[in-house]
Amino acid sequence: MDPVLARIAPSVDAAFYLARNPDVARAGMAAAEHYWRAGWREGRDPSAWFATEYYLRANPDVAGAGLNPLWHYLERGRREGRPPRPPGGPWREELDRPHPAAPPAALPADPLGPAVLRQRLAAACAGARGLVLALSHDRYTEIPGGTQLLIAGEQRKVNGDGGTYLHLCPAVAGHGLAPAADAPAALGVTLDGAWLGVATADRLAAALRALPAALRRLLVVHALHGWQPETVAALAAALRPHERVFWAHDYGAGCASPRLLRNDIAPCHGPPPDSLGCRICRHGDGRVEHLARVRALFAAVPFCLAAPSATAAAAWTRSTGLKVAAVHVHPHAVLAPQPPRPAAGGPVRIGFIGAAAYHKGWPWFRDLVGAARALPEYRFFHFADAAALRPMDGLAGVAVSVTPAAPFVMQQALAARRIDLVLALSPWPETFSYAAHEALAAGADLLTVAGSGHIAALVRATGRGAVLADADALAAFVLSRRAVPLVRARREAGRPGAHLHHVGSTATLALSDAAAITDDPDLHLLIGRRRIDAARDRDVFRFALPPAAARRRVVRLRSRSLDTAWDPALCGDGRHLGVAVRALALDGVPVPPVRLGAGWHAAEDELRWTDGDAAIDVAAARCLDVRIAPMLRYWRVPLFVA
Amino acid sequence: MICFTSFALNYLPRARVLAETLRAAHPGWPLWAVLVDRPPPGFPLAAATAGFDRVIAAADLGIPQFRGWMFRHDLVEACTAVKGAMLCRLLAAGAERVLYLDPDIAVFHPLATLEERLTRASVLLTPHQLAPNDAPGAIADNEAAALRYGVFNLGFLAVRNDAAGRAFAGWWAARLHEACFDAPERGLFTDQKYCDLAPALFPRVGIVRDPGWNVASWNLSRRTLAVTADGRITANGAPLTFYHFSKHGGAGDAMTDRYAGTSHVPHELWRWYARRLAAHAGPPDPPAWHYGRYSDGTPIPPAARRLYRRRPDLMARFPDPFDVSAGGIRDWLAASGARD
Repeated sequence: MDPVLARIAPSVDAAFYLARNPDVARAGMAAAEHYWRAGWREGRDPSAWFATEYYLRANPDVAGAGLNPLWHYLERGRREGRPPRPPGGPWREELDRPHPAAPPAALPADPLGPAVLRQRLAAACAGARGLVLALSHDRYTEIPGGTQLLIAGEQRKVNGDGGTYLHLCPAVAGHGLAPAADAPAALGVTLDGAWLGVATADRLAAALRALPAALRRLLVVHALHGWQPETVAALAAALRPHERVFWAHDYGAGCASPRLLRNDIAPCHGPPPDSLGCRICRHGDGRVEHLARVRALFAAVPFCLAAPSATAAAAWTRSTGLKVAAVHVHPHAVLAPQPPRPAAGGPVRIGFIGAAAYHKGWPWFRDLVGAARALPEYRFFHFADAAALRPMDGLAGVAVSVTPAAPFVMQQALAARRIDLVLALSPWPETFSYAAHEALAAGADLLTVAGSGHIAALVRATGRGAVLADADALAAFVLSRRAVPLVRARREAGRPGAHLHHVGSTATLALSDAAAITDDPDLHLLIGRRRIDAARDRDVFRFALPPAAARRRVVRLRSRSLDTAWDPALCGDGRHLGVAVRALALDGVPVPPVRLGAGWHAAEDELRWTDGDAAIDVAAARCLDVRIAPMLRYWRVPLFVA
Repeated sequence: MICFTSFALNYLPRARVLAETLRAAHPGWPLWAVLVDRPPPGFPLAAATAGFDRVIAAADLGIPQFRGWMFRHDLVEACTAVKGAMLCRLLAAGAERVLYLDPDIAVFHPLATLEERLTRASVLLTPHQLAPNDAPGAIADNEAAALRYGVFNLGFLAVRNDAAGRAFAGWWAARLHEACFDAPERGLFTDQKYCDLAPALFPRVGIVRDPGWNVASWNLSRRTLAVTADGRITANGAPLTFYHFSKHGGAGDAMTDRYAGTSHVPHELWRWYARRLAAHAGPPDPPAWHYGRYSDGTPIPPAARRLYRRRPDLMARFPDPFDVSAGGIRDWLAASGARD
């Protein structure tokens, strides 16, 4: 073997190289040989820790001599103190990363006319317990992500309690606020999870103004990115909401850098907008105006702040300086501890959850894997969407897609791989970390850094894991094998487990003592847009059918409902369950299945479940009796209760 | 306090960043520009220099035999050579205190102690280095360079209008008029190396030992920059008063890389400066240096300048060596086959 190839081969990360260079993988060439023959001349990197182009640029003597840069580094450069990549660490890569001004993603122009809009909204609100108008930055039904998943769950609970959920997002995505403009903003409209199209803000405002005054109305802002605050204020004025909730999912209300990272790399703590810290930040130029516009919104709309953690509430309040009517801490998920389970032995299994992003701490994890993969005490895993996996030697990738239909697959995957420790290295004050909760629910402990906000607070509160001063200290903790006795001790005690309950969204937020759980299915009929309530005798609901029922023939039997995918205590088969009906009679005669329309699940033994909105052909009957089996406890939306 | 800087049009974006940052820190301090250049016809000089209170052309500083004198200097030499004359002019006009800052400096926190320091000293200088280096590379890059190019960095100079200040200014201006050259082999380096002598030659010369003043790649090895939670920028814990973006976009990039270590703040400053330069860039693009070309627009070779400044006979024969309308020094050089 060529001596240069022999020298560099052990330092070429084959998994990394072939994943980065699919052409090489397709050609069936060995990574080291390709790098040795051609790759370095083509500027390809042999591993995550060696930057070929940088090394040649920074060392003209090497470039001039035509030497393989990795060989030079291993033979001489390392000894001479020449850095293998731009010095500084992970922040340096992020700072050097180009920020191309990509054309903003726009939703298809599919303008909704005012009449259609008004009609669809009125139909959805007929008989509804209330309307939630929710605003965020993108289409939560299409884009994967934690906030999007939360909104999907929120919509399900609102619908399950008989509410209507109208979601709006900017038709043109944007970082920070959209510039103020004279023309009305174009907004993407999703109604109860179904895409309606794009409508202008003024038409939406008109449709909101036309809603019946008696309807309970809530305004929920999940994100302002891409919004003009002035549009939000105009929609609020049209809606005349009974409650207004602003979520602190991030700190975007106070700055276009929503994670309080100066220049997207360094925790800044949200200093005064005229400070030098803001002056040298790429997001600093517009911050004074940004804050002034958001302040005007908060002056016009008296929001309650909902924060998913106390850490988020404190950091949000301090960094934005915005005045709110009240602050409510309402976690998105809680852990119900389970008895410890026996743990297997073997190497310590360390995982990283989610996108390979700087703000999730990926580069520190990646570098740690590079430094520690040869240690027999450890195995490393990466759990993420298939497209987000970043292969490298010594790292096992596990493709996991968390979706509204499968919200618990991450913890299942972590548990299946018997992960001992999850590294959560976010360099910013996270407001709430699903990944951290999924880790704890799966029986893993957390290793995190002091600046990770809610994650560090979670570790301190649960005693599950360790909080290190920074990523360097954390790497030293692992490399010095101090993580080994930590894991050994917890294995001896058994792997602690927990059920993860997705409990926290606006749908469960209570501003008073109102409870979010109820036994009452709120069973009622909807005939056209008219609601008919029952005379109830324990499990039997008797509905007197008015003449309108005979005219329409088909009535809708409506109730609260649950999405089983979101409740680990239920079957989890993804069905919506309304009420379990034991018996159904029209004028005392049992109703044959042929008269049941949409919204009925298949019969099971003595029961037949509705999905919460089930059609019955009542013909000319005058009385409908429904006997149910009370089997569920339902989520109710406390904010729908006046 | 009257402030001034000196530059040719290629440094206009840098000078504009100095103007905007000095103005933000000290709105009441007038800022003058010495323009060592002559804008081509149609160049929007007034708009481009709107951040300055006054712009004075080097040619209007009253330097004797100006065109012959200017021909002796390359761009950097010329921009530094005029500083002495401008300082004397401001002092003669009655300025109580004069502050010079290089055009590639940006001011961050106010120079809060400057006026008070000028009650205790008549001349203030900032050393390149305030603390010894320990690594061999840093000793070579920083200490050896200071021995060669000057202990003090003349990107900053502050002078009080008293006897000691005027004595220093007169001496310095005279030396610069005579030989403001980049010639370390002769013990010269533009306006800077002379000032190694200043603490010995003059009373009341103060050395500013504040680590927040004149931070630059050559002292980054011994300065730790940080940004506090309330958004202040510090160097070794002191407010960062001004940063010298020397050789930004050139050799300074590599030096910053080398000496910023694991600290991201110097890199954040370096990139902020790039963004400000882009914001202050043309159109129009900066014109070629007026004094870098003969009257017909052809470039003046460095050898011609070096020969001219060594040869009093040529100075006498060609008092305006830029003028080649009748052949001039260029023809003479070609005919003589003179080499540097």
